[in-house]
This record gives sequence, C-alpha cells and structure tokens, in this order.
Amino acid sequence: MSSEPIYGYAGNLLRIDLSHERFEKIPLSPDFAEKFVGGSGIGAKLLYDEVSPKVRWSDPENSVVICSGPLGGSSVSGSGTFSAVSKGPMTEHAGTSQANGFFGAYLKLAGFDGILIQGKARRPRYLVIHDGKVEFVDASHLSGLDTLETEDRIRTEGNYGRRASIFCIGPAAENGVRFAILCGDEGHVASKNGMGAVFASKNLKALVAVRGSHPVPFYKEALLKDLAEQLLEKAINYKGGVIHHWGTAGVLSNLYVAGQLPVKNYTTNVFPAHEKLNGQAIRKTMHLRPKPCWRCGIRHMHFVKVLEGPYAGYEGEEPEYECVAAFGPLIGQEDVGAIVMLSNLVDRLGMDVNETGWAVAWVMECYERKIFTKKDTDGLEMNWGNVEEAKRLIQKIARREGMGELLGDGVMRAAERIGGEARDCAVYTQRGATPRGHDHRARWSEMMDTCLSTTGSLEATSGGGPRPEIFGFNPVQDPFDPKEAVDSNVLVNGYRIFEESLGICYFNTVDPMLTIDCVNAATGWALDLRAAINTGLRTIHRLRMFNMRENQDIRRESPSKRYGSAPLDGPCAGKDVSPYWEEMRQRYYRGMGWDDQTGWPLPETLRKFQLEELISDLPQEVR
Amino acid sequence: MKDKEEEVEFDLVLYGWTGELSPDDHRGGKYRVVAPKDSLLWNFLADWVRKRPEIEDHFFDPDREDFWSDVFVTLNGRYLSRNENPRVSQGDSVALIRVAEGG
Repeated sequence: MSSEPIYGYAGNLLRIDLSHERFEKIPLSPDFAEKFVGGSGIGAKLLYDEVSPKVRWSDPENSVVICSGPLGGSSVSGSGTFSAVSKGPMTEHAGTSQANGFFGAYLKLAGFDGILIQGKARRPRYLVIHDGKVEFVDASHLSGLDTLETEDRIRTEGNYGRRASIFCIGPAAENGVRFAILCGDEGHVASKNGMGAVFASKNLKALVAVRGSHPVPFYKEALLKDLAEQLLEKAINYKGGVIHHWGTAGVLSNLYVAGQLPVKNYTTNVFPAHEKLNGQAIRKTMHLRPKPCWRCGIRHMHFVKVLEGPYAGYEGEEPEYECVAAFGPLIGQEDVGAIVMLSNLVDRLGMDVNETGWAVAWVMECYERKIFTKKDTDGLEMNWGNVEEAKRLIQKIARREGMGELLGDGVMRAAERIGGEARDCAVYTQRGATPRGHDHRARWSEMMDTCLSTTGSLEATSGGGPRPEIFGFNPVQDPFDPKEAVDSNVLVNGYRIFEESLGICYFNTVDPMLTIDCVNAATGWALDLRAAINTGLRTIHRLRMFNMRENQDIRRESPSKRYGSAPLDGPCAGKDVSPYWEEMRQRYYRGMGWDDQTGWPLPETLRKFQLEELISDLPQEVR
Repeated sequence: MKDKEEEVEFDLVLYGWTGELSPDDHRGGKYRVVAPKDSLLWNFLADWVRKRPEIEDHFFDPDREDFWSDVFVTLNGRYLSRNENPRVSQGDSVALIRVAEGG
C-alpha cells in the first residue's frame, strides 16, 4: 500500500463477496488511478478483468461496479454522482449508467472510491458501508416495497437521517423486469441496461453509504474550490440558464419545433400541446420545493405538488425532460399532472422511464391499429392518452402479470416475440434497448450513438447532438449528411466517457477545459484535452473488446424498422437514414480504429491506447 | 424609403435557449420581418439577429461570428441545412431554434 496519499481519491476499492458475506479493501495505486480515473473507466477495467466470457448477466459470476471518481465528494458542484457498470440484461453486454444525488460523495467519505460487487446472497440483503466497514443486513422484510418505501424504511431502521445515501431496487427488479433501475436519494436513478435487475439477481436490495469522516486529500484544495466556483457559474448560466431556471423540460418546446420530440410512437411529429407540458409550464403551475444534489448550485430538480387538473394534490419528484417526453407526447396525452404521477410511479416501481414509455406507446399504437385487442391487453383500453389504463399497464409490467409478462423483457424482445406488424412498429435498437426520449430520426448522430455505443446507452453525444467545435473542430453543417453525422461522433467520442469517470454530473461539466483544470487541481495530474479524450477512448475500446468477446452480433448494431424510418410529417419529414445505415456503420468503425468488416478493434488501435494486454483476445483474423 | 416591391415580408418565430421569445413580451407572438427582396435567408437572419443584442445572445457565437452549431432553421415548416441558402420569399414562415442541451 502506498504511504503517499493519492490525491482526489479515498485510496481504496471495496470488493464485496455476497455469496460468503465477506468484504476486502483493495488499495488503489497511483498508476491505476491515473490510467482508469474512476466511474465508468475503473468500472470497465474491473468488468473486463473479473467477468469471464459467457458469464450471463444473471449469474453470480457477473459483477457490478459502483464507482465515484477524483472529483467525487469535492467542492465541485454535483459531485455526488456515481457510475454503475455491469453486464446488463438489456443488451446482454456491458452497460454503464450514472446516477446523481449524494452516494458517490458519501462513499468516498466512508473510505472507498468504488465497490466491486460479486456473488449472490443466499437471502435478501442490503449493505451498509460506513467508516471503512461493511455490514450485511437482512432485507427479507423489504421485499416487495417500492423504492421510496425501501429508502424510508432503511433510513428509519438505521436512524440515519440525512447522513446516509441509499440506492435500492423496487418490485420490478424483484419480479424479473429486465429494465429495472437503481433508485436512490428520493428519485435519482441509474436507469440504463438493467442495473436493478442485476442487483435482484444477486439478492441485493440496497446499498447504504453513511457519510463518514474519512478525509479525501485534494492536491490543491484552495485552487480546486476557486475553479469549482468558476465552473458552477458557467454551469448556472449555460445557454441562458435554461436548466437552472426551467429544469431539463425547459427545452421541450424547442425540441418540438425542431422535430426532435417523440410523438405517439413516431407515428407523427405533430403535438400542438407541447407548451402545456414544458418546464416553463411545470414551474409556473406547480408548487415547488428545491431538491439539490451534493454541493449542487444549479439546483435544477425540485419536489412538486400538482395544483391543477385531475391529479391535483399529487406530490412527487419534478419530472425530467425524458419523463415528460415518455408520458406526454410519446403516449399522446396532454395533462402535465398525469406526467408527474406516471413518472413517479415508474421510479417507485423501479423501472427505466424511457423503456416503459416506449412499451406503453407501442401497445397503444398496436391497440389503435387493432393488432392488439382487449383480449391481448387483459381488458385494458389502451387508446392514445388513456392515463389510468397506462397506469394499470405499468403496474402489470412491474408484476410481470398478464401482458406485463411480455413487456417485462423490454420492447425489443416483446416485439420480436409477437412479430409481423407489431414488430415493425416498435421503436428499439436491435441490440436490446429502446432509445432515450427523443425523435432520433431528426438526430442521426444520436441514433448512431444509441445503436453503436459500447455502454448500452449514449456514449459520444449528449442532448442536442455532438458539438465538435467545443473541442476545436469544425462545427456540423448538416446533421443529415451521413458522413458528418458519423464523423462528428468520432471527433467528440471519448470526452463523455471521461466525464463519466470523474464522479460529477454532466450539467456541471459545461466547460471541458475548466473541468480538466478541476481534475488536475484535485489530483496533481497534468491532463490536457487530448489526454482526457484519450482516457475516455481507452475505456470505450476496452468495453468494445468486452462486448466483442461476448460474440456481439454487429448486424444488430442498427435501429428497428420504425426507429430507422423517415418521419411522416413535421420539419424533418422524409429524412430517411435507412439507405445510409450500412455505410455509416462501417465509416464509424473505421473512424474508431475498428475493423470495418468484423467490428473488432484493430491491434494498432489497442496499442495506441495502451491496451496491448487485450491483443491476445482478438480473433486470429484480426490480429 | 425603399419601394415596397423591393421588399418581402415574412414571419419569424424564435425559440431561444430559454424557450419561445416574443416581440411584445407575451407567448405565441411572431416577428413580422421585412427583408430586401432576394435576400439569402441565412445571411439575412445573421444580420437581423446581430442587430438585436437581446436576441443575439441566444443564437450567435461571438467567437466564431456565426450561429451556434445547435441552431436549427425551418423554412415553411421544413428543416433547412446550412448548406442550403434559399432566397427569402413573400409570406415565408421561418423558425430559428436553439436546440438546447438537457433534453
């Protein structure tokens, strides 16, 4: 163990063996920290090393990594974020997913940078991590409780008050829903690639990090604080402060007029009611109470109380943009109170709001077109916009009851099981998950990213599409140019995964240079932008190797028929990506340094990113 | 004063980074814009926006002296790429949209 502090780090990873209820501290080395950074970077490294090929996502031999990063628990705004990394049930390949809140910060203050969870508990357990120790606590009495009830119960049992951050699974995970999430700190979620389902497969109900007093050394603490203040000011005022003032749903109307809002399962792009549902409407018509994350100055989240309409009086978390998209335009309904109710229900049951929204919308389209009848839907009248029936269907999914049994595996598997017209109108990637809550037919770069990412969700882009000019490249001229759509992803790829390794929220990393300055002040490193991007690319190539080692079928790196179709109306009507898809996929492979026929990383790419040890895992024809 | 025949009028709707902008401070408004006949749309919009500081901030990157890359334009309800630069016509309907991040 190094006697020198590793600046920016608690200094230890925690290995949990659920099968034998044992834990072990694994000291970090400075080299390991600098090479893999944290979050998704460390998670990808551990996943590759610890999970052998052919281990199924639900096997005890699968691992889950929960990891903060060098800015976690620091004075940087929103530095309570963590990454969850595992082999996930949606793609059956690697998955990374981030959750905000407090957990990442509290974990470091409890003495650990990350947790490697392995094995399977014989009986339901939750883990309490505090002051360098771990308790394995019986969770049998928590089975069936929803995520908020579970959090409340554990908080009461441990008398933790606000000193603990708790992330847990809900009944959906316990009942085998593949797109189950981790939910904690009253509504924050790690929602992608079924991390909650992996927890359930391990009989693990919850993780509790108790805020301790373990000191986290920072290289230049005063400088870091100063830089953090500068970064926060930029984050608050970013793009006119839209996130700060109106929340993520503040962009909803802009996306609508640009043709990027998903409406009625992609059957149309016409939805005049958008102004009744956007963030501006939410903040003007509901009672708000702030709900900030660790050290967060943006404070874009609130608890809300619905004051108008049929759901007046309902209280819950303010819906993020993707919640509004999922339970407003996507299912053809116009009451914002209903969105609050449905999105909070989905969080409490412990399911991904995107996948759930696409599933409900798909059933509604099939019902309208008489592909499904009431016999198929267990008597539910699944007309567009029918909120109460949508609620009942969501509850059935969480219980995997009736039609919920079909939908509990997600849209792709349900659609492929039914086949025919039902399959043709479902929106999903052929790799197993649905997209985020946008109409990607107006965002070709993001559709590419969704279908080809190594993480099971977005990897290169964030909302609004890639912006290479931030990194000194030429801006995109035409997002519907197949070459530009690909090349812009290649140019920016790596930075987002680097961010996912830092332990902070995306909304606080609006200035890449200043973010990197913060990392250097925290750690004593001398990273520049290129080095940061390369660190992210190293993680991406490793995850690509992991997925290819699992026999990933590259033909499935594509959208479903409806997902890859041309919009029928709206500003992007007729923009059809499908004729270009094959050419775009191969161009992306070449841009990433992968073999354009097989999709495997090339040996020279692995060498360039100091991944020589993976070359022996390449098939002979690529080596 | 210019001859009316040398001018065209068209509607302009603005969605800045904080949502819809309005000429008279209420939602749902459209700007009624007068442009010299045969104006190239992107060029005219750039000039028009830059003359209005309260609007310029939403759409224009001062460092590059160009629209931000995430600014979309629709002409008569259809997306218009930066590689197309048609001449503006009488009665056109144009939307200038900042596709803000977060969604």
